[in-house]
Amino acid sequence: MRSGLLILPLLLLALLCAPALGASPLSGGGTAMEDNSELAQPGPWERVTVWILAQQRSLHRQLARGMETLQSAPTATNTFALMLVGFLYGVFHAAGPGHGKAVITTYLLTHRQHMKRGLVLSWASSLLQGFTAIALVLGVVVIAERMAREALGQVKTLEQVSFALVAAVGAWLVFRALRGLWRLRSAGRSHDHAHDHDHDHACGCGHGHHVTPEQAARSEGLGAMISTVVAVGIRPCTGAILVLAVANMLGLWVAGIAAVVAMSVGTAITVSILAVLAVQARDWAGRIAGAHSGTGWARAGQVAALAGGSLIFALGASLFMTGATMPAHPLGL
Amino acid sequence: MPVHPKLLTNRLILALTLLLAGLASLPAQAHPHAWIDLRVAVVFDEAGRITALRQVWRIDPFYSLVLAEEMSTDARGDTLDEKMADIGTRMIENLGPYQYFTEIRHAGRVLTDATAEDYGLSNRAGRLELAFTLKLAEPVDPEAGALTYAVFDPSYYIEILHDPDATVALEGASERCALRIRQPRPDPAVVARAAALDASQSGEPDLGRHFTEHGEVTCDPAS
Repeated sequence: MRSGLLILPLLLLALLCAPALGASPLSGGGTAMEDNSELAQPGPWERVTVWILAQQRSLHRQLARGMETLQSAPTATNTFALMLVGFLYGVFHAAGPGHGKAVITTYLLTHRQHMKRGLVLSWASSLLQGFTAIALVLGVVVIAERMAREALGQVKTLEQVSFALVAAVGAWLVFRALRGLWRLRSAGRSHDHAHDHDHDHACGCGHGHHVTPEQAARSEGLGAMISTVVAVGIRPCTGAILVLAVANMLGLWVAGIAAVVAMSVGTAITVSILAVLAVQARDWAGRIAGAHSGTGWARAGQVAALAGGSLIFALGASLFMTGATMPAHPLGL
Repeated sequence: MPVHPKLLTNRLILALTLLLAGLASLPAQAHPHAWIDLRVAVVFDEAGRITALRQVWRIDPFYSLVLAEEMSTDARGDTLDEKMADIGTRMIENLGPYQYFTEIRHAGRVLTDATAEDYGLSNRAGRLELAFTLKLAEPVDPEAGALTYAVFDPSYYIEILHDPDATVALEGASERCALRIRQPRPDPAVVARAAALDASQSGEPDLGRHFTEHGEVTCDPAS
C-alpha cells in the first residue's frame, strides 16, 4: 500500500512528461498559444529557458567566428579556442533537452539502475552521436564528395531510424514489465498457498523479498541499455554536421572533428547530470519503499517500468510519425 | 514542529521529480540550428497608412556556406549574379506557402495575402542576405489600431531575431508613430501544452512562435 504511494512521484513525473515526450519540433498547435506576453513576471523556469537559449545563441555565433579565425590563422591556440567553444556549445545545446535526454531520463526514472550504468548510458549515447556525425560527413562529403546539403538531408533519415528504434526499445520495455507483472502474479499465488515453505519452485520469485527482484531487474537491463544507446546515438546532431561540413569546406577537417568531439563531451556532461538526478530519484523512492514490502514494491516497480516503457514507445512512435509527414524546409532549397 | 524524516525524503523526491519534469518538458529538439539576423523597415504611404514591411534576412555564416555550395552546382544561370537571382527566387517561392515566415496583425486581426516583391539575394562578407518587400494586400491605418508583426520559422530550425546592430525603420511615418519590440516569452507550460496536441490535428507546426519577437507599431491619432 505504502509502496504504491511512494511510487506516485514517479508516475506523476511520467504524466508530467507525457505531453513533452510526445512533442516534436514540428508538432504543436497552431492555435494553442496566441500571445504569452500578457504573463506577469517571468518565472524562474522561464528565465532559465531564456538564459540557456541566449547562451546557446552566443556560442553558436562564437563557433562561426572561431572557425573564421582558425581559417585565417591556423594555430594551436585558435584550435583550442574552437574546441572550448564547441565544448560549451555542447553543454548548453544539450540543456534544452532533445528526445535523447527524454528517453534516457524516462528510462532511468522508471527502471532501477546503478549510478555507473546511468553514467555509461549518457556518455556512450552522447559520444556515439558525435561519432555518427563524423562518420556521416566523412562518408557523404569527404569520401563520396557530395554536397554538405546532402549530409544534412541524411540527418532526417537517421532521425527516422532513431525514432523507430526508440519505439522498439519502448515496446520491449513494455513487454518485459508485463512479463514481470505476470511472474509476480504467479509468484504471489504460490506464495499465498505455500507460506514461503516450498523453495523448490523453479521460478524462485517467492523468496526475493527485498533484493532479488531488484537485482534481477538490474542485470536484465543491460540489453535495454545497449539498445537505448544505439537508438539515441544513431541520430547525429545537425549542429555537429554543420560544423563538420563547414570545417571541410574551409579545409579545417581535423579542427572540425576536434570541435565535434569536444561538443559531444559537453553534451555528455549535461546528459549525465540529468541521468544522475534520475537515478538518485529512483533510488530514493526505491529505498524507502524497499523497507516496507517485497512483492508490493516489486509490483509497483514493474508498474513504473510499464509506464516508462509506454512513454518511450509513445515518444518514438509520435516522433517517427511526425518526421514521416514533415515537409522539407522552405529555406533548404 | 519537526518534520518526520520520511516525510522530508518524500518531499525531496517530489521536488526532484518536479525538477526533472521541468527539464524534460521543454519541447524535444528545441534547438535552432541556424540563425537569421532580421532587419525590418515599416513602409508608410503619404496618407500615413502602412503599406509594406521591407525585410532583409542575414543568414548565418555556416548556413550561408552550405547554401552557397549548393548554389555553385545547383543554380540556373551562367554568372554568379544570375545564380544568386535564381536561388533568391526559389527561396521566395518556397516561402510563399509559409506567408514568408511573417505574421502581421492589425488591430488584432491577422492580415493574409501579403505578397513579396523586389526580392533579391546577395552575399556580404560571407553572409547571404535575402531582401524582399512584403506588400500588404491593402494599406492599413495604424491610428485605427496597432500593427504587430512577428517573423519566425514555425519549425524553429532557424532562429530569426532582430539584428542587434540595426534598428527598425519607420519609413515615411509621422512623429506620432513609435515602434516597440516585445521579447519572446517561451512559457514552458504553454509550450508543453501546445506540444501535447496531436500532431495530425494541428494544421501548421508552430513551435517557433513561442520563441519569436513581436514588433508593434502604434501611432497616436492626430489631435
